[in-house]
Amino acid sequence: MADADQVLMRRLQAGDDSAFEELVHKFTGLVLSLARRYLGSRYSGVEDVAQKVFIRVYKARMAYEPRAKVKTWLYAIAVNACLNEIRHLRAEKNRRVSGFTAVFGDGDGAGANPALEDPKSFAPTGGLEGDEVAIRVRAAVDLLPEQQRLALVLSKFHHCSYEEVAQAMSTTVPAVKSLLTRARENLRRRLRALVDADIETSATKTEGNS
Amino acid sequence: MTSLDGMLAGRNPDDLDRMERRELISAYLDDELPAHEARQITLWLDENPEALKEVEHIRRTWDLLDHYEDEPVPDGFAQRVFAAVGLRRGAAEPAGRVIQMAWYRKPQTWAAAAAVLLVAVGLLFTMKDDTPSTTTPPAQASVVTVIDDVPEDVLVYLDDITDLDDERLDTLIALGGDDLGS
Repeated sequence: MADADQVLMRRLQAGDDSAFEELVHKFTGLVLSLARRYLGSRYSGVEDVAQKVFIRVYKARMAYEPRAKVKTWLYAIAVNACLNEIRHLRAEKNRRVSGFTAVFGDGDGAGANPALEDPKSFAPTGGLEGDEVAIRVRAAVDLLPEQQRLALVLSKFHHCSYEEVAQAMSTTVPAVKSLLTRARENLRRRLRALVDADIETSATKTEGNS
Repeated sequence: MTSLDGMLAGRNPDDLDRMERRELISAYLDDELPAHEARQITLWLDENPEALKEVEHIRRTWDLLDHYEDEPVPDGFAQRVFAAVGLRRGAAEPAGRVIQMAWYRKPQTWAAAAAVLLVAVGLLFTMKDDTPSTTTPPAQASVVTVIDDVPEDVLVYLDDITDLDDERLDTLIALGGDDLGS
């Protein structure tokens, strides 16, 4: 039995443009969220990429086959759009435009914000303000290699199973498992001080309550 | 979850190499292990405080990602998408940039070109009927026809210069001969 999204796609394929409007309203947040976190929180072209995703959905609507989940199909289109954008930025790599550095950072940690690595940059007992934690977390994610970042975004923020991540990324489940493992290791290294402070704060609270 | 069936394959997590153990823990934290292997890992962690501490550190790192909040959808985004695919013809100019399809990709462009071509072909056929033929040489006008078209005063002049009596002239006209003036 077709789910609600598949019914929308059938209507769109039959020429009902109002179905496309419903699809856009339903999945705009998802597509923007994926593009934003994959291309980097500082990248200014996220909305353009998201727009291209929906244009592509409309143009390729007859290519959709009902055996696939609409969301998975949409993810695959969004991933391809982001990859095309990255390829475009990579072509300008030597010019070090701000868009490139926003997406790729300065490599795998090299030259990254030293505050991320410095355990003395905040008070272990008081912890950081919420915004500062968010900034550091965003920066750590932005610095991940793009494939690890994509796997992380799909798994953590979009709650995709390994199988769904593999389909969206056109890869295998073992490859997804490897990417997520390495993403965790990289994040753990970059955010170790934050996590240590968080653990210490929790321990202090526990002692205070006992 | 069965996508990673057999990660342990009967082995103890201590028997795995460092990378295999990390991948196993990652799948455990993502709830991607089969139930029996997840139970095995839980028991192993209960018996290994150091491993449990490490797993807890990894889990808290992942939880920090909850601080990476999403941003609201920009105003007018959907309308710009609809305009880009042509679903809102005649709508007010939306704010922000609209990604337009290239002109050669739009079906309207090719429809317009086909219409212009059809009109041009139609005009060509219409003009062809009105154009006098230039390939066939003008038929030799008979003397009768020529004489019929000649004004009266010219006929009188011809009469004078040929010095033909009327009867002879009429005969010549009827025969369509070319002896006039000879």
